[in-house]
Amino acid sequence: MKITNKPILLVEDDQVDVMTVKRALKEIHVTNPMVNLENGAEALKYLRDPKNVKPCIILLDLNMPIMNGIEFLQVAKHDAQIKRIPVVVLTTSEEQQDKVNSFDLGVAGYMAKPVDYRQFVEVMRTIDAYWTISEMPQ
Amino acid sequence: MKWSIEHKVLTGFAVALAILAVIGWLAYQSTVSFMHASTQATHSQKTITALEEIFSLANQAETRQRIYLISGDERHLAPRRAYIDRIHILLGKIRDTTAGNPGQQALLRRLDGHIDARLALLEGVLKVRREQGFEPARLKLMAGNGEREMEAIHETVLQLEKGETARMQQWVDASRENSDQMLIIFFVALVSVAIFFGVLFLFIVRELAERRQAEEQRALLMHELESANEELKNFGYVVSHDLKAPLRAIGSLADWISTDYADKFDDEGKEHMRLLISRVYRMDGLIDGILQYSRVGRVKETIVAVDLNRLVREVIDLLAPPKNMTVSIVNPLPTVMTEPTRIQQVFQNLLSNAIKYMDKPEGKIRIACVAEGTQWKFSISDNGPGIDQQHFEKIFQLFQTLAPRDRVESTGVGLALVKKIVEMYGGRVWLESTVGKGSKFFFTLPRTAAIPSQPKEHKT
Repeated sequence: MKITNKPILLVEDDQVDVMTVKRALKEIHVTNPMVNLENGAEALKYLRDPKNVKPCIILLDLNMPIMNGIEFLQVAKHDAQIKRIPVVVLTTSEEQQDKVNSFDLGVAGYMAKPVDYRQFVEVMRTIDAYWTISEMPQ
Repeated sequence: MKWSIEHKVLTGFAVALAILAVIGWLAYQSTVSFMHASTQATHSQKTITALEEIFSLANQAETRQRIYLISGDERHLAPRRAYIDRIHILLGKIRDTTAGNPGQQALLRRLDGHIDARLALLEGVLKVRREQGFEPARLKLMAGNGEREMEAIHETVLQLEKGETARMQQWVDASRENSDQMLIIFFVALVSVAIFFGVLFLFIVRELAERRQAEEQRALLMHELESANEELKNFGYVVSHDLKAPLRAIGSLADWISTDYADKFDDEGKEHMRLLISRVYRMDGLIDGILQYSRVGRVKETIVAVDLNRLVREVIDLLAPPKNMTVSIVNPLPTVMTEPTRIQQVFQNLLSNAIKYMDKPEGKIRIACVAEGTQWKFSISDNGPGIDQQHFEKIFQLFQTLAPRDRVESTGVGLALVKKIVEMYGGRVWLESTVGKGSKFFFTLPRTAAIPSQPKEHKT
């Protein structure tokens, strides 16, 4: 990540998936702190709390209880304070409709979670590499 | 044979119309015969009137003559000529109206004769009166058989009248009988038409009720089908999300265990972990296969013109066949109107099978296409292991493979997918094969736009 002091926000309800992301980030030596929240509603609460530091990137699962990823995007992308934070969807779904909805709501990327952990590490490596090079508004 | 309601109703109306036509024809016939009878009766009536006039004229002519005989005044003879002419005209008329009735004609000839004789007799008396005076004429009149002739005329007229009256009665009777018959026929026919229409009406009402019931049942069935379809769609979604997530967790955890605790496993333990992870991949492949299969026909793509020459070359590049295999397009392929992803899946699965199962050192895979009637017939032939004829049906079923999955990794979805796509476009897929020599897969596509023949789907 270009900005190493800002946290990475992971919106994900599956414990093993959280472990997978943490492990993969550790493996590729990403040192940013990680904040994990279980659903979209909690993520919005966190992002709107002025006490919290805004994350440099949001990794978003789509299939979650209470408020799913698409619903989160519908709110977040209309919130001036949040909408510039890049969102990368990390999901199992390969449904065309989910991809269309996500990009309609301005996501920065859409990654299907591979079953193979090694491949997942490569996905995370690519995301890190990209956001290390890419400029971001402060 | 079961007739449709349209046939039955049309037949019913045709029969009813036929009955009405018969009634109409009978009515026409009856009217014609009534008119004929009425004309005949009128003729008879006219004949009788004419006969009466003739008799009266003959009497008047005689009366005038008698007055002349007595008075000698020529003026009384003047109308006599007119009477006689009138008698002859009337006789002519009667001759016409009784034409075709020999008995009456014979009587008429007799009447003619009597009248002529009587007039001739009177003429003779008149001549004597004019030339010799009253007395000789009176004597001649007395001597002649004038009275007898007059009687004969009267007699003949009466006979003629009797004949005509009888004939008139005959016509009137015939016409009455005819009318009575017609009334009965009308009544019977109208009643039968009424009954017929009643039955037809009841029948239509019953048929409509049955139809409505059938429609209700169909609507119910459609509703059930729709909800079943909806459930299936949800099933696909559930499979993709809810089954894959734990599977991925198992895969990841197995990977970490075998990495983190590598030094704690003996060789057998490591082999088991390897098998565990490979089964996770296999299950992942199966789930993907189900999703892919269920997506065909469910997810619509835009129909575009697809140049198959380009598409097939792209598929070949994607599959990257090993160096010992040649994949060739035998003749130029057509451009078809279809969904590009679907047609690509067809070629990709057929070609990847040919490559995957190739057992010869020099693999030859050939793609060809011919126009056959309204369809394109594509063929993909290989010189691979071939397939026993007893498996020709089975290989197109979902999850059916001929090689153990541990030998050749395969989900058994490919050919089922090909069949589903080709049949959705109204085509057909089949194969010819000789074990040991190779296989030739065929499929057809309509030459007109290949539009998927799927019922409309509900967007949710």
